[in-house]
Amino acid sequence: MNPAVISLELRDLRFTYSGTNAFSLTGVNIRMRPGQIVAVLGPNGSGKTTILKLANGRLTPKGGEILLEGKPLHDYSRREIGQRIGFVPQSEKISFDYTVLEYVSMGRAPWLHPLEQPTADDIAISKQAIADVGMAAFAHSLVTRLSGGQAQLVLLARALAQQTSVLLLDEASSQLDLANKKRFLDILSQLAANGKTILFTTHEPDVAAAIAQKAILMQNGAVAFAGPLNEVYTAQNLEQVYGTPIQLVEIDGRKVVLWT
Amino acid sequence: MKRLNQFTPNQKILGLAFLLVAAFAVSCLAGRFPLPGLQSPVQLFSSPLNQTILVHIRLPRVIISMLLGMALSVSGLVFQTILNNPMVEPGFLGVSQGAAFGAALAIVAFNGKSSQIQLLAFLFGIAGLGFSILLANRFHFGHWVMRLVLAGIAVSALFSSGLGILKYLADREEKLQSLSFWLLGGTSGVSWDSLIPIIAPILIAFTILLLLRWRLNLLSLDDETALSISVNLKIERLIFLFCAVLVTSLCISICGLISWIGLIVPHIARKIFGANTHFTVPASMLIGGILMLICDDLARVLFPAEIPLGVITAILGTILFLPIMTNKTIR
Repeated sequence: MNPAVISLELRDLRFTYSGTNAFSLTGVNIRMRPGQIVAVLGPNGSGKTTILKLANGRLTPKGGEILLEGKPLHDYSRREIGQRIGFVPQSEKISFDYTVLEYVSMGRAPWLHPLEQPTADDIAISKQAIADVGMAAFAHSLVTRLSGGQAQLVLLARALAQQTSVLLLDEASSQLDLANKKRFLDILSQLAANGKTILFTTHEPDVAAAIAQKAILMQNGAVAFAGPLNEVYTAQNLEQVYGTPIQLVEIDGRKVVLWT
Repeated sequence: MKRLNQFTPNQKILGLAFLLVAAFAVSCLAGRFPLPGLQSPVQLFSSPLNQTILVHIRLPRVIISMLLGMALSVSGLVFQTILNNPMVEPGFLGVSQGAAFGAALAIVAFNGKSSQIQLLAFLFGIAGLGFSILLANRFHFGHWVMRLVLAGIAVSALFSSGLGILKYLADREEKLQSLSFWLLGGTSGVSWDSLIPIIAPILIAFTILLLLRWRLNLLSLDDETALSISVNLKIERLIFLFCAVLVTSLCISICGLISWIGLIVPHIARKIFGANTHFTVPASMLIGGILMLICDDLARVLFPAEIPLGVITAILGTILFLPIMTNKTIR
């Protein structure tokens, strides 16, 4: 893919929830090139999740626009969006005994005719996605029996089976143990290296520092700081956004947050 | 039961279809004339009286039993999947209580004929769902599914209190009796006249459910993810719910309230096929049809006097419930 192309762009995005919710999102601008990883950081209620909901079309902005491959998002059908933007939630309640393969192959839905079930090709793509997250041995296990970390990898696999150019993740790595977290972030870096555009929210500045090239710090529904990770990611900025004293330590070229 | 897993899902579906045909055939031979029990096919075709009984009395009854079992089971599966809760049955969302209220209204207030009972039961069954959805949209907390379940509980309670009033008002000599019979549920006395008008809409709804069956899986996902894989939540939920409520209330309108089958059969189907609705939709229909035929046969031949079908399904349901819920060896 041509690196000059903008994959996903949020332009002066504004949003308010209807009803009593006083929250409003103002003036969010994000431009993402293919293969770029952008982290959205900020305290609870600062608008991180709202940005993702706007970006995958779940919410309609009250102002500004979202451009997907240069075209307004609302010009795409639901199906076309599903073929271009994948979404990984923080967790999902699953009440039925689906196998990992059955569950992951649901990610093929945007590519299927409404009366179709996944074809042999779709199953092959789903198996590859499961292998890509290192869960090949569990393809026929039940999703209800997986550990939290494994389940998270399966959610990622489903979004990979969707074969989209953009991937949105909402706090997707926050419940993983250290080994699974590393594995999860390595997979994301690898995906970006292969051209996928990744936008993710996280509570953990360290996770952002480990893989993102760009970071956006949110505060009260507005972008407080945005830009290349190294510029945005300073103790001063983080202190302002989170409202608590923060120290940044650099170990082997990687910045780590300490709070006191 | 583990041996079941050596067959492919399609082979198992075929096996169930074969069992359904067999159950249907046996049911045509089972009856209380001349004596409770099974007749041989030779006997059946030897006398004109036997043939008349078969064509005009037994056949419509066997067909409605089969359709009833299929309808309750598949709509149980649809409700469980969409509400993401394995413990619900078609009675949720005010459908059953609405239909029961409609039937009682026809019996008590209008001294209704069977066609009027059917019509009102059907209309109020649909109205039960409609009210539940309207009310759910008015709630300002929780996600859609929880609001819908809460609204269904409220609507059901409203209809059942209305039903209580109608029972209280009903004249003890006849209306209360026919009301009680209807509420217990049963297929005896079903004629071609009451059966024929509901066959086409039921078959159309079954066809829609079968054609869209894989997509039912997607409705068990969280709203956020379902949306991200291009599911049109509003429309797809409505299509499935409407078909499920349509077949349920049409059957309830003829057979009265039959419990347990709609709850238990989807579990049996998932134990045999796993959770994939591509298989559990047809499997629930087939298993439901088979079980209801067996229940209805028992209702008719076990004792010289007919046992209400609702009683048999409740007994069978409870007996099947425990082993199914505790058995871990198959899924």
